[in-house]
Amino acid sequence: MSRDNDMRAMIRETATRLMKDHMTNTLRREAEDGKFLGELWKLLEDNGFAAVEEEGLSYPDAVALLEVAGYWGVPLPWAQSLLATKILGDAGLTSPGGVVSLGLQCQAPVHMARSQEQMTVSGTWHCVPWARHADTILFTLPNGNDLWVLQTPRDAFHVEFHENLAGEPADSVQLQQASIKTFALSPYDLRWIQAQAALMCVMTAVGAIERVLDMTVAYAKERTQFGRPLARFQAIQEKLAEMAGESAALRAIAARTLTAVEEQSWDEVIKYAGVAKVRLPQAVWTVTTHAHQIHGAMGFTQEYPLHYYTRRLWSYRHDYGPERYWAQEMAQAMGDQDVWDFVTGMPGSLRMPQD
Amino acid sequence: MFTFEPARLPESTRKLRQEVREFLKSEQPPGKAQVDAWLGAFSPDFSRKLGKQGYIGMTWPRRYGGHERSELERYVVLEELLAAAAPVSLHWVADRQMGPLILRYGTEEQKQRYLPKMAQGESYWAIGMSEPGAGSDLAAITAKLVPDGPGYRLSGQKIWTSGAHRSHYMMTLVRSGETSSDRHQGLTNVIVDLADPAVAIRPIRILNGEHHFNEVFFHDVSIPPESVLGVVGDGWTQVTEELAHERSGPERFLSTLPLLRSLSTYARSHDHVAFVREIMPLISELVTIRELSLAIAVILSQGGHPVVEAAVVKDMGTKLERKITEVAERILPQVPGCDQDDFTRLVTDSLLHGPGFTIRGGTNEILQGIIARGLGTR
Repeated sequence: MSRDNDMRAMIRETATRLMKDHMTNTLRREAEDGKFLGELWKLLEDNGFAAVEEEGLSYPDAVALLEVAGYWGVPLPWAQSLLATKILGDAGLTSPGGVVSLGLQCQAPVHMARSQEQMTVSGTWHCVPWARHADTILFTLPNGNDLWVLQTPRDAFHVEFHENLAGEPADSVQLQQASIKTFALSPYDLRWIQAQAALMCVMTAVGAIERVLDMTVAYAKERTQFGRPLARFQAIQEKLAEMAGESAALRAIAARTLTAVEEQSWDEVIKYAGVAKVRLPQAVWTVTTHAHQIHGAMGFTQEYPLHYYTRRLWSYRHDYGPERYWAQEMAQAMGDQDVWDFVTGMPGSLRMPQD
Repeated sequence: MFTFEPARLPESTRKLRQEVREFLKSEQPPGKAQVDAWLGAFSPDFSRKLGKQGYIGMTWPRRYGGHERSELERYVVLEELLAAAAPVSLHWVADRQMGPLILRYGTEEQKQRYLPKMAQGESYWAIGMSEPGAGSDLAAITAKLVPDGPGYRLSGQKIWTSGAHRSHYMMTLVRSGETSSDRHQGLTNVIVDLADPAVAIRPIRILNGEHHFNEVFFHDVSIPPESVLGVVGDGWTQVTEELAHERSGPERFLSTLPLLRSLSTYARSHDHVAFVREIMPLISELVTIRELSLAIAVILSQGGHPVVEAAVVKDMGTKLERKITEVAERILPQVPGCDQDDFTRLVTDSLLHGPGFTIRGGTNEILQGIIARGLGTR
C-alpha cells in the first residue's frame, strides 16, 4: 500500500512538474481558439501518462492523475483517453495509441449488422469530447442485453462541431454504414462505464477547485481596498472558508471512491461515484460563485485566467450525468433500504419505533 | 489546502457494527426515536451497560480501564449509538473529550482516579468553558483561580453548561494568571467536583422548555493542587486540542439523522420526486461529511491536531443538520406542533433544537474564522 502511495506521489510530482514547465495561459487560449496541443499531448505520451497500460500507468493512478489535469486546466482529452484505454485493454483490444476519445451517449436509432470480421454501424453519438482531434473513438453500442465497444478509426466517423461551457470540443459524431473491424463485447456494463467517467470528472473538479481556491486566496491577500487587503475583511474570510470547506468535502468523497477503485469493489465505486457526482454541484456552485465575487470585475474578463477553471467546473456538473441522473441512480441503488443501512453499506441497523 | 488519507473502515469493523446493533436491539431502553439524543437522552443503567460492553473509553490503555481498540472501531460504535438515538448523554463528554484530555495531560494519579470510572460509564462530566462575558471570545473568561494555602480557590461562574445538573465533575477553564497582552496566557484547566457545596447549579431552559444547560457558580470553591490538569497556564493549548475532538465527531452531523430516516421513508412512498431530487442530495452530503470526519479520526489517532479540518466538519455538519429540517418541513404533510405521528414530531423537535446546532461547541462564524486563518488570511 505504501509503495503504491509512493509510486503515486512520484507520478503526480512528475506530472505537476511537466505542467509547471509547459502549461501556460497562452496555450489554454490557443486551445480554445481551436488549436490542438499536439506537443503537450506528445509529452504526456512520452511520460506514459496518456494511456492505461498493463505494464504502465495503473488505472487507480490514472484516476488520481486527473487531479493534476484539473489543477492545471489541461485542454486535452486526457480523462477520456485514460478511461478508453482502460476499457479497450480489458476488452482484449490493443490500444491504438494516439488521441483516443470516448462516445457514450448514442442516440437511437442505431443500426448494426455484425459478421465475424466486421460490424457495420450507423448512428449518432453526442457530446463526444475532442472528437474532431481524435485518432480513435471508443463508442459504446448497446444491442439487446449486450454492450459492444467499437474501436473506431478517424476515417470511419463524421464530426459535427460543438463546444462545452469551457469552449472545449464536445462534438456530435456520426457513423454512416461504417465498417468497423476492431470491436468486442464490453467487459463492463454501461453503469460501470458511466460511474468511472463520473469519477474522472469529479477528480478533475477536485484539482480545478483547488486551483480556484489558491488563486482566490492569493488575490484576496494581494488586492487592497479601503487600505487593507481583501483577505482582512471578515465578509471575505467567510467566503474563503466556505470555499475551503467545499474543496475538502469533494476531495474526501473523491478519495473514498478512489479507494473503492483500488479495491476493485465495483459496486462501491458505482455507489460512491454517484454520491460524489450528486455532491459536486454544491462544491462547484459555491466555489465558482465566491471566487468570481472576490475577484470582482477582473475575474470576469477573458484576459484574467480564472475562467479557464470556473467554466470547466460549470461544465463538469453536466458531464457524464448531471445530478438528476445520479440522484436517480442513487435512489435506485438505495431501493427500500433505510438511510443508515445505505450509508454504512450494511443492512439491519436498529430503528426506534416509527409509525 | 487539506491533506488527508481517506479512512477505509477495516473489514473487522463490520463484525463490530453487527455486535453493536445486536447489543442495541437487546439493551436499548424502549422509547421513540428522537433528535439530539446524545445531548438530551440519558439512562444511568444504559451508560453502565455500555461500559460493561467495552464501548466507552475504547481507545484508552487497559491499565486505565480502556480497551485499546482503534480510533475507527470507536467511531463505528459511536455512529451506531447516534443512529439509534441511544441515551448516551450522561457519559458522552467524558468519553469524547475529558478522558482523552486527562490521558494526554493528566498526572498518573489523575488517570488512575478518573479514567476507570469514566470507562465503566459511571462518571459523568461537563464542559466549563463559556461565561456570560466569554462566549465566542473564549479567551475573555474571568473565572478566577487564586493560590490558597497548599491549593487554590476558585470564584466566578460558567454558563451554557450542558448536563451540569447530572454530572459529577466539570473540566473548568479558568484564569490563573494576570491578564497580559496575550490573553491565551494564564489560563488553566481545573477539575471541579460538582458535589461541592460551594458550587451552585441553576437551570437555564431552552426555548421549548427543556432543561439541557445550566449556569454554574463558584463561591470560593477550594481546589486542591491535584485537581489542576497538567501545568498551570497550559489551559489554552489543552482547550484548542480538545476542541478538535469536540468538533469532528459524528454527533456533529447525526443529530437529526432520526428525522432524515423518517423523512426518507415518507418521501419514498409519498413523494418520489422529492425523494430523488431533495433527499438524495442530503444523503450525498451525509456520506461526504462522514468521510471527512472519518479521515480526521485517523489523523487524531496518529497524534495529529486537525484543528482546521475539525472546524470544517462541524461547520458543514451542523448546516446539514439544519438543512435536513428545512427539507423535511417542505415535504411534511402535517403542521409541526400538531404532532400526530413520529415524522411530524421529529420535525417539531428538530426545528426547536435547530438554533443550537450551529452555536454549541463553537459558532459557525468562529469555525469559519479558524478555517480562514488556516488559509493564511490573518
